Amino acid sequence: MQSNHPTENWQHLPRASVTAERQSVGIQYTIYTLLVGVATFVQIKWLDLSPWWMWIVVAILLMLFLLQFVYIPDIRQRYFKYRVDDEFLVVEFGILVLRHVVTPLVKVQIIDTSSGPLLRRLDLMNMNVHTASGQIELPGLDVTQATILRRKIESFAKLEEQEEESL
Amino acid sequence: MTRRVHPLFILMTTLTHLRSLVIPIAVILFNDLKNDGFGFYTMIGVAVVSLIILIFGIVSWYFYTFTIDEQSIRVNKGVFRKSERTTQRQRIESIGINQNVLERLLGLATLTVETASDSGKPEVELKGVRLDFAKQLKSTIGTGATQPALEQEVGETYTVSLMDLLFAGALSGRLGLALVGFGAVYQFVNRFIEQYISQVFNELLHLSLLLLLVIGGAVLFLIYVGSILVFILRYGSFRATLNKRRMTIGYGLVNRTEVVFHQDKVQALVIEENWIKRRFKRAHLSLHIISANGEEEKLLLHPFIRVADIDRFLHRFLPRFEQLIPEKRAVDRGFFYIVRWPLLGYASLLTVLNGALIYWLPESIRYLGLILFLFLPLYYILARSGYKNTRYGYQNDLFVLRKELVNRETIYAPRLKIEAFSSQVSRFLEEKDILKFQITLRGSGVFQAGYFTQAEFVEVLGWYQQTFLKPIPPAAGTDPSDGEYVEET
Repeated sequence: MQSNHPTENWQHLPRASVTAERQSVGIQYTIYTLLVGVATFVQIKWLDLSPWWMWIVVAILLMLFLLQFVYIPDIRQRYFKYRVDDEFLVVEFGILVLRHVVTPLVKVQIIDTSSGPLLRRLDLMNMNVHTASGQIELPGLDVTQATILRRKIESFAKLEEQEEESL
Repeated sequence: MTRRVHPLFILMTTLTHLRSLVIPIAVILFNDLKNDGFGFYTMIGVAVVSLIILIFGIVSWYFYTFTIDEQSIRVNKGVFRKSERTTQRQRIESIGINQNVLERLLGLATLTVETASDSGKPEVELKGVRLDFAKQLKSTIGTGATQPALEQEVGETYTVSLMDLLFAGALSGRLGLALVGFGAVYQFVNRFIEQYISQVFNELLHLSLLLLLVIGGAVLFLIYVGSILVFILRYGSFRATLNKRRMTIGYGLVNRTEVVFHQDKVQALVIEENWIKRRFKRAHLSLHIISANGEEEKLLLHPFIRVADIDRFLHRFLPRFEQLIPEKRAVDRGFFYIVRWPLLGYASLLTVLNGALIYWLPESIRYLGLILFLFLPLYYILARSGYKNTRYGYQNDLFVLRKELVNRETIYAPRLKIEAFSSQVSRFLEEKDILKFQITLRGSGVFQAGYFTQAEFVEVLGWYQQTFLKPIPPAAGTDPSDGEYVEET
């Protein structure tokens, strides 16, 4: 019987991931603001309405913006952590619901990394670890961090799992 | 061996294509009849279209080939856009043989091969093969031989009697299935009786409340009987065979389904006992298998087994699983958080209902609906006694998780089949030191129960986090978990 002593320390997301998320949220809401502006303009100028309901839209957008821009990136960065525990990937995450997931690395089927221009500028990348039952997202990892993790998981890809009986 | 499916495949595809063209053709013919009998050109048009469909059927049959060798199964198809699909044999999770009514009449079947890819569709689908040939193929793929085994010794078999199916259907409490069937029939019939419906409805409004209740009861009863019938049609002549560690499960009176899988591919065993079945000491067994059949990856194993017989049954057919009583109970302080949302939901529903009743009902029976509120304490008591039975446990290589509020559901999963073990808890309850366990199985089967404590979670992880790697044969003497062949980055 093997005890579940951690073989390494918890890895956290870099602070830069918060900046990256805020930038992308910022861009997203800039577009929303423009859309709302155009809609209001059209309604006043050409449809001769006095659209009081746009205030409601603006209020909702503002509230969502506050949540997504100020609080969520920070909470995500604060609570997200992962480590490789012997041959298991252990991830803790969650905004409203706290989840703690343990997956054997031999079960991993695909490692998917992606990074857009915003992430690349800050030397970050997203990583998706797929198993036959779903996927684990690791958003906004540091590039060196991600490379180390990927190499670790890859080293298990060539190993054989117990009991794979063919039909 | 590279082969084609049976030529009757042409007829099948032609018929399915013609079926989708029935309405336009009928419209054209009807239009013609209204004018001056069949036009010559209409006949020619219909004939040409039928011919094109037939030729397309023949050509697509010609290009539809499959090859089975020792390693893999390959399917080639497509006339203009060719596709080739290769499936590794050891990736196969299960093989299914399905027959719908048309196929049964023609003596054909559809063979499906399932792997763990997450597309949701079967990896290989051979439409229109002869039934006996499909069975041969199945055994060919199954035994790994390139030539079909001629004589197969029959292993252990069990069937479920009609009586058991009848009871299982009657006590399954699954009104939903019947409602779906009822809805389908209604939609079909509706177009013929539409004008009468409103008339009937007007008549109904004048009847007394008692009569309305009787009619409502009769309709419910009919739906109930219908649900039993649907259940029997679906699972009738149930038959399972175990042969050299391979299990075959077949069922269905109208559409026949047969699924074959290796015992080791069973992801989990689920024992469901709803509150009625528990009174009769019976249970419902199903398996988590990757297959295109069954509902949500759950395959029926036995709909109405005597609880006392389960041990013997498992020993005979699935020796890897054994029934064990999970010992670790859910923590008491978690109960409130489990029950608060359902209770609140039911309470508000009843309040709305009562508001409506008080508004609509005549003076004398205005407050009749308040009786319904008795349901709330009843639910609370049932849930309370059920929560005591929400448990987990593990023994050797088997993890057991039981969830019970009103109905009891127990899942048995071998450690090596659990793809992810996780806990979850709402941020607001984190400080209460309670959390739910969740196990994830291949093919997105998720099962969770709670609440347990953090310490228990860590304890289970200690059991779960043993090695998943195959021990290397030469190093048989050493402890396989000392990590010497793990850390080679």
